[in-house]
Formats: sequence, C-alpha cells, structure tokens
Amino acid sequence: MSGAARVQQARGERSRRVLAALVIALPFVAVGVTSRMWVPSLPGRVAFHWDASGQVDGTIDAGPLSLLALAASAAALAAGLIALGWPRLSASARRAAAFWTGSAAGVAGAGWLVPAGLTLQAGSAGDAELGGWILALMASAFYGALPFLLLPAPKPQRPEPVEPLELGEGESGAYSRTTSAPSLVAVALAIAAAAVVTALVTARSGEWSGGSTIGIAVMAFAVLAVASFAIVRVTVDWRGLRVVSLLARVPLLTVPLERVLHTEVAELRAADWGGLGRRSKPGGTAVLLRSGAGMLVTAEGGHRYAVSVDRPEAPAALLSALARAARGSSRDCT
Amino acid sequence: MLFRVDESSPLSLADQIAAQVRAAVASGELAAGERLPPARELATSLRVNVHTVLRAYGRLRDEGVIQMRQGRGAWVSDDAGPGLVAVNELVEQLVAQARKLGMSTADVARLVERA
Repeated sequence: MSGAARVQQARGERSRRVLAALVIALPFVAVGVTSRMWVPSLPGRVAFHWDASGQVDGTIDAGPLSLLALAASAAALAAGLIALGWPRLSASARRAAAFWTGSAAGVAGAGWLVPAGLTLQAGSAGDAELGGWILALMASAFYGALPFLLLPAPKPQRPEPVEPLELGEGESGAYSRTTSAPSLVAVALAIAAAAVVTALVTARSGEWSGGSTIGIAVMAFAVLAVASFAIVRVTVDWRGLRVVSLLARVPLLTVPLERVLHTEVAELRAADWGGLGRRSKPGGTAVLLRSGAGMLVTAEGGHRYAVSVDRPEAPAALLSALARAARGSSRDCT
Repeated sequence: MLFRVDESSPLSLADQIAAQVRAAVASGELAAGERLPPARELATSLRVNVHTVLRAYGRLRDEGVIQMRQGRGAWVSDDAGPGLVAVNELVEQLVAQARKLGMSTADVARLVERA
C-alpha cells in the first residue's frame, strides 16, 4: 500500500472512531438535555416498574433517577472514549468495547427517557402506560451494535509458521510463563463484590432464606470458575504443551509432544472461539485469556489447539523443535 | 521465559539457569514482580535435579535479582532491572581482578566504602 493510501486509510479509521464516539455520547447528551427540560415539569415520582398486566407497581424520585442515568451514561461514555482512543488496542477488542459501552449508555439513557417521558405524557406516575415502549427498553441493550458496526472489522490474519529452535546435541529447553487476563480478574472481583454486598444486605434485613444461600453459593462458584481461567501457567517441555490454572491447580489443556505435528503463531480472537476461557468447537480447543497473539498447535488427526501467550514465537519455536526431535528419535528406534 | 541448558557447556547447569534469568531481567523480558516457575516444576521441565534449580535461584536471591519465600515461590525483585544486573556483573569482575592481585574480599569492601 502506498504512503498516500495509508494516510487516507488512517483518516478514514479516525473518522469512524469519532462517529462511534458520538453515537456512544448521544444517550448522555439526551439524558442531560431532557433532565433539564423535564424534571421541573415532572411530578415528584416517576413510574419505574410495571407488572405483567401493564400496571405501574414501582416508582422512583425523578431527580435521583436523572442523576443516576446521567452518571451511568457518563461512565459508559468515558469507558468508550478510552477504548476508542487507546492506541494499542486491537481492532476486535476496540469493537467489543464499543459494543459494551454503547449498550451500557443505551440502557442508561432508556432507563431515564422511557419512564420519565411516559410519566410526563401521562401527568402522573400511576397513569404512565408502558405498552409498546417495552420494545425500546429491550432494544436499548443492543444500542452498542451501532458503534460496533461503525468501526472497521479486524483484518483477518493468517497464522504464521515458526522455524523450530536450533537445539544442540546434549541441549534441552523448556518454556514457562504465567499469563493473566485482567478482564477475567475484574469479572471475578465484580461477582465477588456482588456476593459480599448481597450477603451483607440480606443479613442486615434479617430476611435470610434458602434462596439467598443458594444465590450466594452460585455467585461464589461463579467467582471460582472465572478466577480459574484468570491466571494460568503455560509450559512447553519434553512432555509437550501444558496450560494449568494457578488457582485451581488443574490442567486446562494438554498436548502430548508425540501428538504435535506443527506449531504457528496467530492472532487469536475470542469471537472466533465463542469467548474467553477454555473453549471447544469441532476440530479445536482453546484456552483464551484475551484476543491477541497466541500459539496455534496442530496435532495428529488435525485437531487444533490455541493458547493465549505473550510473545508466542519462543514457545512455538521450542515446541516445534522438541516435536521434531521426538519424531526423529522415534524413527531411529523403528 | 525460555530456558536452555547444555550439559556439554563448561558452565554448570545452575550457572546457566541463573545467567538466563539475569539476561531476561536485564532485557526487560522478566518484569519486576513477575513470578519464576516453581523450582520443582522447572527441574522437571529441564530434566535436571531440583537442587540445581534451587542453587540457581539461591544465587539470584543473594544478588538481589529475585526474592524467594517458602510457600510463595520466587519472583523478580521490585528493584531488579538492567542496572542491578550490570552492577552485579561489575562486582564479579572487580572481585575476580582483586583475587588475581592477591587482595581479599574484605580489602575490596574497604576500598568500596572509601570511594
């Protein structure tokens, strides 16, 4: 690509990011403008929950609701701007961040606009009819699809084969590295915090029940499950490739050396594997801690194994060398 | 990080392991606070005696490059970096040169204090 074409492409990507930022900002602006216009005219309380028959069964003060929606949409906008402006974020991570922050902004905006708008139209909280506006509330959860689609899709990258490491006679090698996923750590901490808050609130209210215990137990299990994938150790040695959870001390993925056919380095995308953690699909198994650089190992039978690891060239080259040496020595024995 | 040991090398296996950790810290491949593999696991991976790895880790701990604690394993010291590694290398050269001249370690320490 020529220099001029690259500049043009960069300008185009920048314009798309600006547009995506404006879309994420729209709910914040809408909440800000309508809060100023509507709060003076609204009755003290706003309809906030409807039962199955469409009757209002929950209300909330207008002022605090507008502030909450403003704060939530501002936080989503701030997070979205950081993701859009972060220079080293991969295209797929940026798109994912745009979706989630956009959807958070959309939900925050709809959480104010629909209840407050319906209450203003009806004149009182009790007379506000939800009707078809429930669809708007549901659709707001997917508002992030707009900035997602505005951003350019990541360019598909082919895996690159690696040259096996040159190991001398009498030389052996091993690779070991601890890899962590900050996003999974954050999710585990968030669930743990929710479990603690739920336990404290339930204990204070004195309404502890079997359901509360089960709910907290489920959250505790979720914390352990997510945390198990948050920090792993990747090892390559004479046994093959191993990925072990540091918290649970269990192997998440094992590829014996004698089954390794060849190794590559690749850009691994969570979207291709259905998410983070230990993933399986026909013909493949992965331990993904993030989208980004990783190893791709093809084993006998064609099954492929993908592992997130920083600077995957070294472990991939070592695994390739050890596998070649193992095949060479097994041929000598036959 | 990648570890390579060569049994035919004039350097002992422990020295080879320690040198590679020092080089990784000096190059920034191993960052401050980063965990090293447990000694037993590294020994199994390299197919060496666990005491070989412990000797390497002990040497690095004495140089201040890593810290070790029972039950917590080994990790790169907070103040370890290219500077510390370079100073350690200079100290080794200084002591080696001093020994050639018949000076004791205590003599060298007195000279360093006066400097």
